[in-house]
Amino acid sequence: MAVACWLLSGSAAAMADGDAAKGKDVFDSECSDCHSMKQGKNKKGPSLFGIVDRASASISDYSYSDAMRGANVTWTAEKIDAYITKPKEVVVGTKMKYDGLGNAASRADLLAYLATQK
Amino acid sequence: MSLFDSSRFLRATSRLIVAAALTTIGMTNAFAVPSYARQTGDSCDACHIGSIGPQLTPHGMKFKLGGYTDTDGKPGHIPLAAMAIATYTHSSSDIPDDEVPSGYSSNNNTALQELSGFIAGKWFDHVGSFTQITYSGVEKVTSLDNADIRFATTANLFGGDATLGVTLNNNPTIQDPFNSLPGWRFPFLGSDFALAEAPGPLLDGGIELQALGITAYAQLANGIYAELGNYSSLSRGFLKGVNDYSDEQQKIDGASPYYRIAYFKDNKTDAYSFGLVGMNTKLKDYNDSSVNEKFNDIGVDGNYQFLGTRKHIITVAGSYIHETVKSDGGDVKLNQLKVSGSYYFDKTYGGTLGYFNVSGDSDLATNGMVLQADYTPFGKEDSYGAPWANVRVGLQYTMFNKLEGDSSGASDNNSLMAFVWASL
Ligand code: HEC
Repeated sequence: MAVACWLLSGSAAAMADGDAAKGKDVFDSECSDCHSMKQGKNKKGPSLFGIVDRASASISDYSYSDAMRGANVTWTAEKIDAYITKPKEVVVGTKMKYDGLGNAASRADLLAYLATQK
Repeated sequence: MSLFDSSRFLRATSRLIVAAALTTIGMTNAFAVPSYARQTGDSCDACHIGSIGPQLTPHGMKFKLGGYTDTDGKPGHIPLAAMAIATYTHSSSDIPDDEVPSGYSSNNNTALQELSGFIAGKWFDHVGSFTQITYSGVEKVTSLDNADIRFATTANLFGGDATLGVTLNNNPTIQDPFNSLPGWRFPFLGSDFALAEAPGPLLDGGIELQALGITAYAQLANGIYAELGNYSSLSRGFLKGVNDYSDEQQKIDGASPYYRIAYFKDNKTDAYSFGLVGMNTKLKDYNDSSVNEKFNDIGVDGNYQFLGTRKHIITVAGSYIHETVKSDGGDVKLNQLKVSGSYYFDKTYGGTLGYFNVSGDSDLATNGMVLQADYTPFGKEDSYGAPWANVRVGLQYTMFNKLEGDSSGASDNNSLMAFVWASL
């Protein structure tokens, strides 16, 4: 049984001045193979429409890993930021096969974009 | 490979490529497998440059290395798909009378070139396949085409997640994920009515579909890809039953080790790989064990993809394979260089330029180009019919500057092919 451990990344300040237009490009490069921004459209990963402040594992017709089902968090910008920096360390046992996005500026842009999609 | 060039091959290189020339289906076979899209929830463009197979994106390479088993986690996926390829071919000169396939003309042929069924996808948790059964509308035979059945798992190795696997396949290099080796590289599709084809090493389809190989591989987190295995020949009975078989075909004598080492890096906005591949094979006649030849193939390869936001995708891939063949009749040397570059706009409109150059013994010297333009309207997230249907239409022009040592008349073998390629 996996235990989720949430790291606070402390990059909230950087997120505040992210550029949503650039963030769309980051999404297309980094996330779009597995995630759609369309509501109800699940690919290998669940739809990320309205992901900011959404409860984890809350898309009912998506089949999450046990780890994600047990995570029980609200996807605030900070939590998403921590998760996409090091997915496997933040939700141990997640089935998201993504190595992480190291560049803090790109993450800030991406989060600015995610916040517009609701 | 088409039937028509077999006589040319035999003339030029005696027994060198007998096995290749007689295995007439599959060399430039394409694949497009919507069952993978149905299984993963991904659209075709996630795994394929230009939204239809076989050129893989890094995401597609990882899916292949993972044994075709990734899913969206839902039950009830059926690993079946189908594909049809229709072609129209015009060549610069007519097909010689005695080589015109029955039911066709000496030029300007339209044909349902391939009708394929696939068993493609996850079978069990760690086992999946890419297996193709093809009916050739030109040769009018159905046979087991490319087959790649895998077991794959992950493990923590050298401080990172590694993918480990074993593949059982029937054509050395079809198991490779990087689109730079003969199994899956541009041109992914060729006309069955082509008048000529450049000679190639054994690794380029020489024992395809008549061999059975088992190789084990590891893709480490640090980028190293390593693979080692062995090929042997399928039995005559099996080949007669499910595949092309001719009495003149040769079989692998003893072990035929295959080795591969590469480095693969996916940066998301771009990706690259480079590596080394080789195989050592002894072939002998089914009926006359005194005839035998030793093939030593060794090659280098590379692949670069600029992916960006996927709006503009640029790829360059190629390999250089050196072969020596030792036999009682003397030694033959062959070098094959094949490179291609492609540009895709909006995952829909593509142009590819390929260059091939074969050198070595003077009667092998061949070079030329292949140009292709194609249009793939579907296969994207919002596409009509996804994940049930996909189609590509295209035009391909093949030109020879030199063919088997001869520059004069080489261009008589040039051909233009128009194709429609549909899958569901
Ligand atoms: C290789 C495929 C893949 C890539 C690339 C990927 N993801 Fe995921 N993602 C998944 C999968 C699969 C899950 C479900 C995880 C689970 O159930 O453990 C997921 C889950 C998530 C979740 C949790 C959703 C929920 O409903 O609880 C978030 C947030 C997320 N991903 C964000 C991202 C972002 C942002 C990116 C790009 C930086 C990204 N992902 C890239 C496959 C991917």
